[in-house]
Amino acid sequence: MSIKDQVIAIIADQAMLEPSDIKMDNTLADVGIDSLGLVESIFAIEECFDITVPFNANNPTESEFDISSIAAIVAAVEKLKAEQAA
Amino acid sequence: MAHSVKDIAAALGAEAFGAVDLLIEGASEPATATATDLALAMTPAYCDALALGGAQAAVVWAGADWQALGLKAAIIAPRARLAMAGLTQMLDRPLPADGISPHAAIDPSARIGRNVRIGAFAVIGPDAVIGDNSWIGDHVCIAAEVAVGTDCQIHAGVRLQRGTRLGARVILQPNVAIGGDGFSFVTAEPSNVELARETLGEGALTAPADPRWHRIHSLGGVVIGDDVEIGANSCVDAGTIRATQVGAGTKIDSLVQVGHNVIVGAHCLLCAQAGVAGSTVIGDRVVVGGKAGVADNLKIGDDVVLGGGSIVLSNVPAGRVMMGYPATKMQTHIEGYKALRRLPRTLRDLAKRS
Repeated sequence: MSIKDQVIAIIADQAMLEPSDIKMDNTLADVGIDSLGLVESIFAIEECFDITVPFNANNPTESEFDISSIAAIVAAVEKLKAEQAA
Repeated sequence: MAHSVKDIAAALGAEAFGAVDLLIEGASEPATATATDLALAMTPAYCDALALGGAQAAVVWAGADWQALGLKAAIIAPRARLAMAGLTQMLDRPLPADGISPHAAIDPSARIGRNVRIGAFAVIGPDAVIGDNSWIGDHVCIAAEVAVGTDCQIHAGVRLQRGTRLGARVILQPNVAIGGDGFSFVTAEPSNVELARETLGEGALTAPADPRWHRIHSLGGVVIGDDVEIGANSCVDAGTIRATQVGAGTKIDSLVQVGHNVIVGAHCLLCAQAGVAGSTVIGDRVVVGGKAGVADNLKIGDDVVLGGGSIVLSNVPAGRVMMGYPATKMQTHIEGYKALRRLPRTLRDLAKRS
């Protein structure tokens, strides 16, 4: 499974939706994930990809980790995975 | 009683569109609505459900294309939940106004106000006072000298014990018990509870020479402010010397325990299974989440929010959001949780390095 598909599977799991319902331009709010749901999604991403996500749970929009859309999250995970594997 | 779509919208301070003279007899979920129901479709998620039902009129989300949804009339409410407050009030059936039941046992010295309703098998003790327009359900017990304010609704099975005073417009759901004696007992020598607190659990506790719990009587009663609502089977215990207090406008859910001598401020929310232990003082506008607990003799500041299941063991300053057991600042809690979730991977990484 690609990083994109894995991220979508994690988000879908948290949003209680089918992966096919998640669109790349969706925001987390679009799929019904709130702040605590975001924290859980980040942990799931960390555990799945064995990476550390630099996020500020108290102010997620100010984190280095871009969560503005599903596409942004996928891109951020791909970047982290490349960096942290190196 | 039927209301026109136009009148309902006016009462809600919302805008009505289309055939605004359509008459509405009740409210319904969109999928099960009939032609005389107002379907409640406050979010786009109800789009498909509307088509399943037979509603001609609905409360819809802002920006909805109500004509395309097959409706003849629509109400658009900017804040859906607030509209529900007005709407449900309008469509609710009034309580029966059937006077005083011949099966009620009312002491001749009790002072019953004007336009009071008292249900069957209600018992009203000597010198109790019931304010004008109050509605007392069946099987309600109101002890001697208890004072009930005006315009209260006391539902079936409620017990108001001695020393209870209710403000105006108080609503008590079935089986609320107010003014039961506090859970207040003392030992001759310092008890194991006191020792555990003092030593923070250091060393083993031993059997006390005299294990008896001496009862501290509850003489203080309970004062409930105006516009308080208390849910089914909740309890507010009597104070020891002064009254246990619940401030004006506070709403208490079902199965909540408020201990003796507690002071709850105004406009608080105490959600189901919350518990507040003896002598704790809770500020104004505090929200105590479901199953959250507050230990005894603490101070909780104004505008505090305690997340569901939090257990508060120390004082909380005003405006703080708390989570967890022991409850800490939500930010601290999430940081700690983050570290906990990362711990297995951190340990694995450490093991790899060694």
